[in-house]
Amino acid sequence: MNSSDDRRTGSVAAGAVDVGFVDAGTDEPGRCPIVLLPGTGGRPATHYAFLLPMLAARHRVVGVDFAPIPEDAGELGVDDLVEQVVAVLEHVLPGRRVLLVGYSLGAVVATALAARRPDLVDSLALVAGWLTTDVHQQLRSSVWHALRAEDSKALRDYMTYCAFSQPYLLARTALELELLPTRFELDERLDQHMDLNRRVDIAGLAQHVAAPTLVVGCTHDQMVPVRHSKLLFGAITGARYTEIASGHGVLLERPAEVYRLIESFAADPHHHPAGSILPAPAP
Amino acid sequence: MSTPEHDDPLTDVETIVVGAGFAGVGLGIQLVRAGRTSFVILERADDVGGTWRDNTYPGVACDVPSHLYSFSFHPKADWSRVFSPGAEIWQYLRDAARDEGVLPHVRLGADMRTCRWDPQARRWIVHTSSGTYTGRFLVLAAGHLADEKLPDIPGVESFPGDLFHSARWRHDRPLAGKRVGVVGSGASAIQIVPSIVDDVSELVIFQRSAPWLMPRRDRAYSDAEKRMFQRDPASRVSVRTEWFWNLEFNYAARRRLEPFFSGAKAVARAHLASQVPDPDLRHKLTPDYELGCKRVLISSDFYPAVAKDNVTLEPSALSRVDGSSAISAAGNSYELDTLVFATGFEAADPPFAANVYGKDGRSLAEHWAGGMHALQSAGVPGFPNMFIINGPNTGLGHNSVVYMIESQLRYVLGAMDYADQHALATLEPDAGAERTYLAEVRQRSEGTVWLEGGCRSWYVDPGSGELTIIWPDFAHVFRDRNSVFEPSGYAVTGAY
Repeated sequence: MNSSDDRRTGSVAAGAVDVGFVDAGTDEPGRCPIVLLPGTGGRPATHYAFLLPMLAARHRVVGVDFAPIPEDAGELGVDDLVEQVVAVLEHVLPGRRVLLVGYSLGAVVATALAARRPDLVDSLALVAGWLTTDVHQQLRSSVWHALRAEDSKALRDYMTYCAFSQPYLLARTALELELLPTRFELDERLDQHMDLNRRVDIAGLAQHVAAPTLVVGCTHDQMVPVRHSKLLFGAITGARYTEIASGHGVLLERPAEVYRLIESFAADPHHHPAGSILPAPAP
Repeated sequence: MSTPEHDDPLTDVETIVVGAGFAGVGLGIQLVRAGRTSFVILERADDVGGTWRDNTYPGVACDVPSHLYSFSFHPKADWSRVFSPGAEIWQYLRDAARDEGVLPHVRLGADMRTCRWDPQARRWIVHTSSGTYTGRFLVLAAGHLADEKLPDIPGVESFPGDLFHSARWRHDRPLAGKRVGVVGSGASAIQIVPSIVDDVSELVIFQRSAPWLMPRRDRAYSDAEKRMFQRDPASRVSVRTEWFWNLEFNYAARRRLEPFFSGAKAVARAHLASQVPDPDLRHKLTPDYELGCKRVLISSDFYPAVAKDNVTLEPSALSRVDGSSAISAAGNSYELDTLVFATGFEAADPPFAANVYGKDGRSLAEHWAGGMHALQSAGVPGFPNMFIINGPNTGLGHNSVVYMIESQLRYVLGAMDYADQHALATLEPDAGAERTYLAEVRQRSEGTVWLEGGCRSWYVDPGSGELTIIWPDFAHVFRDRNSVFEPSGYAVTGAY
């Protein structure tokens, strides 16, 4: 197993911004590279701290570090982020088809990219993604924006409450709970993503996704409730579906389980037929 | 082929199992359920239960949560605690063996002396202390932690007081008011020390190296929880599943992956700092190797016990004994009444291997002179129709070994099914397939803390330096890789 020490970082211009990336692991014959898209406000080093180096032991893995757009560029749209990913792919992996993995907002971007650029996507894995922002998400988002606007001390507690499942929080010590919220970076990127999250609607695009797709829903998700993943399963022709008993913060709660799903999907995306629900492993 | 020694209806069977611990009882349950009822389980001791029968020392408990450290196919809803005491685990195994109809197949007091492959009959012949058995298949389920390891200490024969190993606890020798030496600071010692510290007059711990110790988040389950688990089995399954994946997370630290590796060490150091205010004692209790290189222990009462006034932590090994004086490697001498050896087990070099002979007459021990190895951690070239459970590369440093045993049970049953479906007399691992598998295991172990953590541990074979005990990857990878019998790795002969 290679270690993750051979990570290479860089950036590439996409329109007016420079998009960062992490490039790790080595190409293995017969295996397409894995590209990881972080979720809202996340980066490869935070959202994929576990998954990226673990996958890089046996795969070429590229993590995309979304850039915030300039203030005068108007509202951030899904297609802005698609453009950023395409720029990284064409720079780092020219002419290659990839296994595109998206988490949360990254799954929205991955779905849109797979619809618009089928030439770049060999297979698609969508963790806690969604098609169209609904009223339940908008209510939660309104509370978030209100707390953020008044710089409330309650914001971090609220984010912890929303992001993690009850079983996960119950299993932590007081010290561990205290450490959790510091993982959120309250910055411009997060604000832009949170704003975009209120306006997502890729329902029209998802039906054009042709790649074999693994949809992973999170049973206890309070931010992107599991019904959204079931809708993705319905919307994408080549989708398979499975669930992890986790909150939205699945990459922190159950990263080893996500690792297993991605590894086995990478080994053979067609192992489970399109339209099927994967049997849950019973340890 | 019955023998004159005994008149046992299970003398000639389909399957002979050696050992009645978690592996042997679990296999028995699966054989009964599969209708493969022609089997005998040979057990040298006077009861089933394996390491949980042998280890009755004060404070014995498991450091994997009970809902995970139990058979998925024979669940128990009313575990008393998150980490149940050893006696409860032993009783669970006895109950499971009885309730699942395994007990009639168990022969107690049958100490395996030799296992020999008979190439003419194409059967295994097993001589025991109570008679001879023959079988088509031999499954060695003798365990990792079965034969106690006693260090060769000069002068121990001159010790006038009681001296015993932690796995052979002398409950008839009370320790009250005694000056007691505990040799070792591993998984057994850290449970024994807090359990006896208030009874003894003085306690000396001979510590060769300080263990990494994490907080033990143990608690009793409430009556409401126990009835919830009983009434709603899905709630029990989700607790088991949650523990499994939480423990899988810890594998990142065994790969020394940041920030998880530093995070785990920070938790352990904060635990030490909060429980041991004395800087000198804290220094002695600070490990000098990387976390995970040896077994990571969990305890919330060991450090407070060590800090008590009647306890001396000797930061070196016991090196010799002179009468009632126990002298450490650092030259410190202690007058003691009782010596307890909490020095672990013969894991890397299992004694049973010297008594198992394959088709060319060589013993498994000779075959394994450079360290244990097996195809898919189960089958050995030259030893047809034989499978090992808890054999090479099946131990775990981060998750439940019962999960590994269940994976191997599937493999063994799969092999038997394959042999039946194709009417095969023998299945024998191919040496080339084994080499390919071992190369894969070696690749998986590179970069792990077990090989690069700067310690000497029982996970690594002392002869070859290879990681022969531990499975060096996620537990789920073992199941995905090794629970399905792969016939392509076997040479077969037909017409059974």
